[in-house]
Amino acid sequence: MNFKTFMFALTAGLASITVAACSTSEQGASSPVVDPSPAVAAEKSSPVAAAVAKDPETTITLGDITNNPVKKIRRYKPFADHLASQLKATGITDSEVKVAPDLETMASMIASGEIDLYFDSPFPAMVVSDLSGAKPILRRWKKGVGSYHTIIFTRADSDVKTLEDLKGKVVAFDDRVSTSGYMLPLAHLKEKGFSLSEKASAQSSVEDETVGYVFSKDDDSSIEWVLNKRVGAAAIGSSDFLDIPPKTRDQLRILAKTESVPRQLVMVSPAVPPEQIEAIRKLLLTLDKSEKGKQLLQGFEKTAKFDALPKASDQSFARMRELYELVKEQ
Amino acid sequence: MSGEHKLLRQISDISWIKRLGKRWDRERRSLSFKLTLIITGIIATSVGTTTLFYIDREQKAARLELKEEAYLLLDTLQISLQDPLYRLDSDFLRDFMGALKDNQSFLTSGSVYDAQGRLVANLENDYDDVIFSVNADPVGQKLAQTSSTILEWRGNQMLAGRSISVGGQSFGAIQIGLSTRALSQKLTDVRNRGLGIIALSPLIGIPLAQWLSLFITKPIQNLVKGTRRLAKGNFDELVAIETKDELSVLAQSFNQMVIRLRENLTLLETNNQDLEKQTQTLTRTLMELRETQEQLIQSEKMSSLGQLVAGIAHEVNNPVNFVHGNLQYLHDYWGSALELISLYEDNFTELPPELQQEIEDIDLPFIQEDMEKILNSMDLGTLRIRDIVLSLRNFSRLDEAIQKCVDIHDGIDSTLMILHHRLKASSDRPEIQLQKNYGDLPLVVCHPGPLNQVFMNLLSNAIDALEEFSRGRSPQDLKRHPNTIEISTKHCPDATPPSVVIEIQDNGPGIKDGAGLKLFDPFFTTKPVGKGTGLGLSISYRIITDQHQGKLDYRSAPGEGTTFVVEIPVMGTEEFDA
Repeated sequence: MNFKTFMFALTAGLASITVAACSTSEQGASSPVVDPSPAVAAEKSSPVAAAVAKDPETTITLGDITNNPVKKIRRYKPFADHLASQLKATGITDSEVKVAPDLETMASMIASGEIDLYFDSPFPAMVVSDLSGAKPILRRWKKGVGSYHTIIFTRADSDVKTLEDLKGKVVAFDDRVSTSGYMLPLAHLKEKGFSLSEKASAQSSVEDETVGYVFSKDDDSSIEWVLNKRVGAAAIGSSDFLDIPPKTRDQLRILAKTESVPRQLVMVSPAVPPEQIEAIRKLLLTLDKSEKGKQLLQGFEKTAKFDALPKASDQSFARMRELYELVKEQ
Repeated sequence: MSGEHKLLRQISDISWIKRLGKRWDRERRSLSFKLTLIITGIIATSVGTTTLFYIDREQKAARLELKEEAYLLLDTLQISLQDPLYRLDSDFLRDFMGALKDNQSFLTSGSVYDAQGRLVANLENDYDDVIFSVNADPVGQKLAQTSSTILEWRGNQMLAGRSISVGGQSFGAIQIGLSTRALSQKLTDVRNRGLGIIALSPLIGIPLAQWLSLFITKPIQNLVKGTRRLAKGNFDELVAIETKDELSVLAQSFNQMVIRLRENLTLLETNNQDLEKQTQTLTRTLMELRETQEQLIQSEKMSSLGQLVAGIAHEVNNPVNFVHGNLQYLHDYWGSALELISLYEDNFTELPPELQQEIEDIDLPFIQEDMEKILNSMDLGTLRIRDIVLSLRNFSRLDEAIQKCVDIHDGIDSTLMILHHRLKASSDRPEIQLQKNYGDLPLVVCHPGPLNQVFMNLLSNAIDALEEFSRGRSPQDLKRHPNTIEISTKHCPDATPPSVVIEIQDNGPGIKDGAGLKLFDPFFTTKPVGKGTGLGLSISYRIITDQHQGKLDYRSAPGEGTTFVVEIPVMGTEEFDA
């Protein structure tokens, strides 16, 4: 590869990433507070949806919310193709992956039947369910875990020893729709009686009795911000925390761990016929039983398996709603 | 290799070079060869130097290009990453760097550091002990604190890094590693091409050098050829050089020199020829003078001899005439005396005893008988003396410068008479046979004396040759093949001009090859030293050709004898008849 080719590739990549970054900004700006509205969601859906329309009756469409649609589509498409190939008996002949920039759009697309299956953590899944009527049918063991929690941590050499020490400091959250990076730690802190205040940036001043928070938009960024001492602490999912190299982890201090919640839920559109839902459910449950299925799952964001919703899922949803209410108050 | 060995090797190399130089000096090589070698060397050196210079330039240009690419890439990355770096958006940074990972053939490494120098993202996004490090990276620290771009060539990559800062506030730093493999490959290709060109340069260089050397040396070679031609004496061809440079000027000067030399040589040759002609003339004149002198001497001798002979003949002739004229009277008187004696005997039967005794004592009958013989013998002797005297008078006509109308045969016979004693047998050989085949010749107007001298010379030479030839022959052989001189004359009235031809032929050894050409040259002789003057034939030739406008030639072959042919024109004899 010569320099010109490289620069062309670099420019293209830069444009792609910049677009994604802009989308992220838009999402953040448009959704300071989740206020589901199907009408609004429907209006926003069309520009981001897949370009080529396929017959929804014979196509199984998987959806996700992301700022990096290409990466998502690349990861999801093999999995979607496999599902389509295995669901011919139900009239499915094709597959498609669609990406929505935010919860509202996702909810709208699910409600309209554009998206059949949607995978997400409990908090956004609950929101989308409320907005679109989607129902959870299975649990997804994303990154090999069936459930996870949030870890609030800081550098070991930090003067923040406890959660109390976070007062007057800024904590880094992931994103406003993140379960482990926002809902769980925010609810946890609130339940602990902390007063929280969203800040425009990590350098913003925070009142002494208040815990400030900012959105890093990514768990990795949250970690970096802690390591960089940009923020007093950060809240990330336990599985992401385990991604930190042990050597660095040893130099971190865990300030708090939240309660555990299912890692992700498989949400199905209300437009999907029941026999297809059942076929999908059966198919997903058996995928980890074969090597080929395991390999497929591994490529699908290191999913270990799909299993039935825990028996206490109703309670979980209730707890989730409770937490949601806490967040919503924020 | 130790230093001492290196020194010895260097000395050896120097000696080798010196030996080569001496050998070069010793051996004679053409200018073309030397020029070809030198030009080839210059071409190879030039190509080599140019290639090295080109490689160096290409290396610098490639490095500069890579450096410029690094700057451009750093500028691009700075623009792209400065905001994410400010936000410490590690997701973006890692995605960005991850996106660059596909270009590792060009980009060998890439790192993004935060303001403290911690590695935030790199090309591999290697989390193990690299990403998410609590501690700052020394490179990142150095880059974050510097205000300029740092370039470093390391191995097969060029590292370029700089701080990303705005208004003096550093957000972090970026460092990229650009692969120099392409550069190295390019330089290797350039070097290989250069080496190939250097290797191929003799293929192009040698013919080019040969062409150049020929271009330079051909005029010189032409000049050299011209010089060699000149050295061999060829002044006709000039040197043609059309180069319009110093060589053509030299050639023109050379040609002018040749032309002047040719003119001078021509003049010299003309002078030489004139001188040679003069020399020849002088030589000829000298020869003529010597011949004339000899002729004068000979003529004088012959004249003196002739006068002497004529005087003797005259003086002898008179007494002989007295004797011869009185012999008849004596014969008559003796007859009368005998008749008287007879009368006495008839009339006196008884002679006195004293008379009878005296008759017996003197043997009168014998006297009577012998007296007749004596008288006859005396008559013959006086006749012969008269003939000899006549011959001497004929032969003594040498001094007669005026022409006379004579019988050629008389001259020949007179000469034979003089040479009669040489024809007779001697102790060494039998008599030489003489055969005369005289034709019917008219009287010929000629100089009788000189002509007789010619016959004398030719006949004397024939006798000399036969005498010399006889010495090596046996008597039997001489008897079987006697020495013979044949004299033939004939009249050729139909020839132009009408002439008489006298041939004197001997059956001697003949004239040897090579001698014939010089036969009539003065002082040329084949006779032993002291025997011949070498002037006889020369004088004879002049007498026949100059005085008589005739021809003197010969026919001869080794072992078959020699025939001299005298051809004398027959002129009108009217005035002489009168």
